Amino acid sequence: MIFKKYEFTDKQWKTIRPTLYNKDDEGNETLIESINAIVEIGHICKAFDEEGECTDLSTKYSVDMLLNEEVESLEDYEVYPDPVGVHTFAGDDSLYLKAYCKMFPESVFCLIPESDEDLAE
Amino acid sequence: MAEPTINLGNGNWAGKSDNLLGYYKEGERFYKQEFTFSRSTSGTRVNSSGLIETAEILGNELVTNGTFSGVANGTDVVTLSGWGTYGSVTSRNIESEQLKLVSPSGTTNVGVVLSVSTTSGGLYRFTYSASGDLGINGIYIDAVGGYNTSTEQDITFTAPSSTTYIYFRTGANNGGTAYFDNISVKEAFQVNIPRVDYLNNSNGSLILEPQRTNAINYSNDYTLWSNTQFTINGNSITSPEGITNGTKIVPSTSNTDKYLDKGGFIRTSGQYITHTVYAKASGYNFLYLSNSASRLYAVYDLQQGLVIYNNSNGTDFNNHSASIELFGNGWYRCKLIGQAQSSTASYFRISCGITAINSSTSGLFQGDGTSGIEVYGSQVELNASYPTTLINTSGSSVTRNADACSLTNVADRIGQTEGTIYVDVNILSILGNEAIVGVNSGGYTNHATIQRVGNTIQFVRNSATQSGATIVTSSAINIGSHKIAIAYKSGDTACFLNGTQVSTTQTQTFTNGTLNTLRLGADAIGSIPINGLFNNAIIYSQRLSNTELATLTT
Repeated sequence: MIFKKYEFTDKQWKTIRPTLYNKDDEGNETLIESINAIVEIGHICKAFDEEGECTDLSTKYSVDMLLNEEVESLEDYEVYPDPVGVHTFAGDDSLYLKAYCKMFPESVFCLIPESDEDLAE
Repeated sequence: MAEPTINLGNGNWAGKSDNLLGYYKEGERFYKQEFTFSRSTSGTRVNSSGLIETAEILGNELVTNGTFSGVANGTDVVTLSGWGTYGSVTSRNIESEQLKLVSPSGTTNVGVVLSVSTTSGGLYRFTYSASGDLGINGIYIDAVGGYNTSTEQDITFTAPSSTTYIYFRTGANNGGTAYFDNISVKEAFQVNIPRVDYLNNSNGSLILEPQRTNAINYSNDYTLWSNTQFTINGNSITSPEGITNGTKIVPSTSNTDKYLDKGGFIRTSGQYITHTVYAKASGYNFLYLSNSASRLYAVYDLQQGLVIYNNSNGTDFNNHSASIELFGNGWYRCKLIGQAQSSTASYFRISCGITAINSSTSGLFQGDGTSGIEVYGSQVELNASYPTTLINTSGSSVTRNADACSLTNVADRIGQTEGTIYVDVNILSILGNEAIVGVNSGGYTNHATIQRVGNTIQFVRNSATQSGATIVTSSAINIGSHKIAIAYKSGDTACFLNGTQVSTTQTQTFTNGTLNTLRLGADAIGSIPINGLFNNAIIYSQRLSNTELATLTT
């Protein structure tokens, strides 16, 4: 299983989304075989005012996916916020960290400290 | 009555530690179930002790003799497999089959270290018992963090590397004498694990739920909510998990509005939002829940277990509803549901009161400084007209994926020209549609399915001779447990619901392609997933008689 995060413009997502689902005659959708789960986070609010109103809404449409295998057509839309961003799949944080560290192996989130008594603070 | 060819659950679901799900038959043995179950995330359930937990299966023991069984008194623990030195201690010997660790007062970072072979990124459960001088950072897992030996003796952690080092120290990492025993580390498997739930059912039910997201972060850390006039006593009371991670919120003595808010989510016009929280009276009896103050709100009596009042303003929300469900030990799960009429940022508000004030969404009174209510496990599910099981969150919103349950390549056990499908299911919602159980040929081409459409049960089939046919539709049903059966045979197909035949016996020709798959909780292609609790699902390869169907579904 692979955990990837994506950002699209609204127009891009409108085009791409139908390619990720199979649809039957009654309009019921099921995911294509390479995708296990999709969560449409939508436009992430980056800041709220004191009344709880959003004052800085992202122009990009955010989507998290669990993949059964890499989906080449989505690679251009991958994003890598610091683990785990604003959303995760229950119990799957390590899957995102794996994808993140493959991209940024030198990140502080990816470096395992040497085992040393001095670390045991 | 004929013998079943497939029997899932048998009304007595049971799990075994070696990753088997099955059922117990009274006076007999454990019967394994062969079906394929998947859910690519973890999920919670109520266990047989009545406590909420993440459903998991534990792997083999990774600690050699963590009970120190048979180890002679005076044995230096570092002579045992897996144990190593860690600074200068006074002693670290086995005494009465426990590890007795002694270190000088005031010394830090000394004790013993246990090395465990792990898989980097794997999930592990570390448990132990301890006594003596205990405290914060008495345990330190290298590259993971420190733990309080007084309160944290059951720890789930993600392994940082192929070897995990667990440091045992005395006191609050400041010296003293401490005893450790029953030390265990096992890999924990939480993904693709079926959930047998025991809430209100001591025999257990299989939970099948659709994908849902808890849209608020810090679902159980109220110190990180926006706080107006409450004292937050986090991790101070026993929660529905049975551990001390519940929160008591105490209103201030000021005669002003008091509330806790959690925002960070956006409601969408036309979509339902479901809010839930576990709450318990603790001096004050009345809980106030709302979305964005007076836009959608309800008042609950935590002593009587009643919804006192529920309303919405009609412009931001309508189609409101509220309910309260006894969980046990004084805890209730309180639910607030409404359909948004506008799209904008929202917040979930919790408050309490000394009295029930119907038009209020915040406690406007002088607290006594000690009374309050206890809260645990808040949840906001967007685009959701009913609540599902608890999804814990910390720094982000969290999604639990849909449960999927099927049995494939069983054409020899499904009646091809005649047969019977029976299910005993607790239906938790009557909004929208959901497939309950069906047999099919691996898709829509040939299938016979029992589904819920709104508040009715329908029996539907598709084949070369019947395209998308609804055979019969029941009269209105309520939320709750239902026993449903369809017995099919050309010219003689009958449907029963709770002991009574639905409509008349149908005389259509019943021919199929090869029916080779049984699927629970979704239709032939895995769509329209259910939110339900399955007590039993049975397949017979014969058409049972109407008398037998009446008995079976009664």
